[in-house]
Amino acid sequence: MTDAAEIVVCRGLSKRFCRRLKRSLWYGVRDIGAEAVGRRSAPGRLRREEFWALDDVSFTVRRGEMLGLIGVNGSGKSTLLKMLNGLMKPDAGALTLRGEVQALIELGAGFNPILSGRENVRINAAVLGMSKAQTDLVMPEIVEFAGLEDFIDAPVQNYSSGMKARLGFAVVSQLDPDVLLIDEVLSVGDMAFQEKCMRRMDALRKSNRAIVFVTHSLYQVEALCDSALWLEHGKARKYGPAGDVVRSYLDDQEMRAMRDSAEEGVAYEGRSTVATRAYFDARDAAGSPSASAPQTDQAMVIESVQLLAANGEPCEELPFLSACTVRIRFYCPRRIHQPLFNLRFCHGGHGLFEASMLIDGPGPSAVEGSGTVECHIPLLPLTPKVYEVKLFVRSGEGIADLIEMRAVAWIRVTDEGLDAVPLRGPMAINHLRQGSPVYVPRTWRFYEESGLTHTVDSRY
Amino acid sequence: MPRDPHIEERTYTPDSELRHPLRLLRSMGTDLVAGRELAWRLFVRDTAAQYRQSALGYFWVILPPLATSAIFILLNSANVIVSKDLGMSYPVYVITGTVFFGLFSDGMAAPLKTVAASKPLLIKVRFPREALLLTAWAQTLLSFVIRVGLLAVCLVLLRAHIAPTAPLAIIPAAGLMLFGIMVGVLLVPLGALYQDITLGIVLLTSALMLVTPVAFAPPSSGALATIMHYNPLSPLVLCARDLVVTGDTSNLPATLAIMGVCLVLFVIGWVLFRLAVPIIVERLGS
Repeated sequence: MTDAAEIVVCRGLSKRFCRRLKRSLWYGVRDIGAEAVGRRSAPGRLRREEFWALDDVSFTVRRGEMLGLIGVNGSGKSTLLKMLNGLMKPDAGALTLRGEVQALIELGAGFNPILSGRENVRINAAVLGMSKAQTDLVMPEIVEFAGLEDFIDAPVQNYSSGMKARLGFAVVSQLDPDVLLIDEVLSVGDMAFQEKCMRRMDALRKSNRAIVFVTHSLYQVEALCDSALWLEHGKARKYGPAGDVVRSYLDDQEMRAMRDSAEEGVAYEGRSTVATRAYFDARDAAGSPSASAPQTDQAMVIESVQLLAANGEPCEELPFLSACTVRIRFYCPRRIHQPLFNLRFCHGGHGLFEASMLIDGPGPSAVEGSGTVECHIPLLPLTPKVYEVKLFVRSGEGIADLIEMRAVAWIRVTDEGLDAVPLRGPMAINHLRQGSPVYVPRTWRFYEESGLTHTVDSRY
Repeated sequence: MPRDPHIEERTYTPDSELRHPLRLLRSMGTDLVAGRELAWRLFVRDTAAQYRQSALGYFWVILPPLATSAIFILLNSANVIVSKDLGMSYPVYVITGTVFFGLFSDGMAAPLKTVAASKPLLIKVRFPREALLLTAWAQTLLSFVIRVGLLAVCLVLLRAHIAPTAPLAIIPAAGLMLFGIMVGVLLVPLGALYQDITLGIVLLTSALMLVTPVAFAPPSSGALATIMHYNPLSPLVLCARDLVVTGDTSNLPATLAIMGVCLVLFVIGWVLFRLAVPIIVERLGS
């Protein structure tokens, strides 16, 4: 280690697992044999049926730092935590830990169902290295922390899973390790208990301890962690400041959601099928959004729908709170009287707002042949997410559909423009991205008897 | 780099711990001391849990040797077993034999039993692994205490002669426990991975009992005589029995020599156990 404050240093850490039990057991025997003669078994390569559960992962945790581990199930988070806890040896790379390490890995471990909560606390405390005297001393605090005053002498088999988890965390909460490993424990327990846990973790961090925290909650990562490591198929997909990693993770989720919704659209939506497929085909081919509905005997044909950024260039993505233009090229085989264009911006199947000539008023008195209409929105009030744009065109009287409502484009609002907004809140990134889709500027004012005391302004 | 000597620094690499034998031995010692209290808790837990759900409870500790003895006494009375020149009555011979042999068989089964009972802990929590070995010792000692009590009661009931050397029998008794635990610990790396070992131990115990002077004296010639002669368990069982009943100490030197070898093998088994645990955890994990 080069820096005294670096308490966990992980360099090129790799771990291989075997897919089949029988073979895995046999490799186990061979590995034990190799250990016993002081050698390494098949160093640096995979044997038959093996895969890298962790592949060349590197990171550092300093004193007072909290690292969040994120990734879907099976991405290697728990494997990494087990290695940090010294339960398994690496197959490549090195891991250095300084000071006492304690883990909060599945708390029910070692609880004997027949024995009472109190007896189990004694066993768990002994497993965690506490002496009998220490345990007796902190027993009241443990019981209070777990909120199990009335049940502590009942057999653990009568506890709910939440009660068991609370009791387990309560035991660990009495420890004062240099590095604390936490595996998704905050998903159990009620709000009050979660608050208690958060306070305890915060206290540990403030007292210059390091915490490595596995969670599925991006909110917790953003609010609690300094840095984050995103694992995917055992590889470090991104490692850095928590906010940056959360952004990239959400970006990735959105891209997936976009792909999925496109595939679903093709599968079910009769009318939007053609447009949807065309949109994605065209985008894949040319890298620009377009849509077409090649029905020829209709009064109007939509040739393409393009999304333009503030600089007038076609784009797929827009920064948060920027100008946006939707350009629609159409073709009318015969003269059409006062067509009324309507764009509906949708998210999750719900319309959020409409840019509608049914409200704004008609355009030219008639169109014929090829034409273009652009709808300019000076400030798109949408938070970073993916939105569907639906188009329908009515005849001059607003009664007949020239073009029935169909999805014609997707807009992805990125969090690129977030810097323009103050974002002082603790969960700004997560809440903007996962909360309500519409963003309106606002000002908060606090008054006391003396008058205005505080102002919080969201303006950009 | 400024290093705080009070802060322990650990580095995990793919290299075998055997590459730093001194460091390995030191951490084995530290963990042995650190694991005492936990071992006691695990022992209390396992013992309480083992018999809490049975009607006969602790009676199960003495039932197997009693049953075995009864079978052999029955066979002997039907003249199926040729037992002559025993120097004591047959029931005394069999009961002392089964009780002392039981120390070996209990010791042999204990390490794997402890590891199996603590599997959920083993794969999730890092604690001094030596605690498991200490728990195995504690369990064997418990069976020793119960068996000695049983033996005393039986000898009194059978009005057997008890030699003044009887207290010395604690030496071969300890040797039998050490022998059993040594074999058990050596079997843990394989036994934790493959169930075959646990199943095989039962078979091995019965087979060993037949080639050890438990229920009959070694024959004077033939294959069995040769096996019994070279069976390292024989001097231990004979020595223990003689010290209790006849006061004959002729097997004591062999007993002490075998105990020395067992001790060395036990330490080797202990090292293997330490090296194997992380691999067992990764193979059985989650």
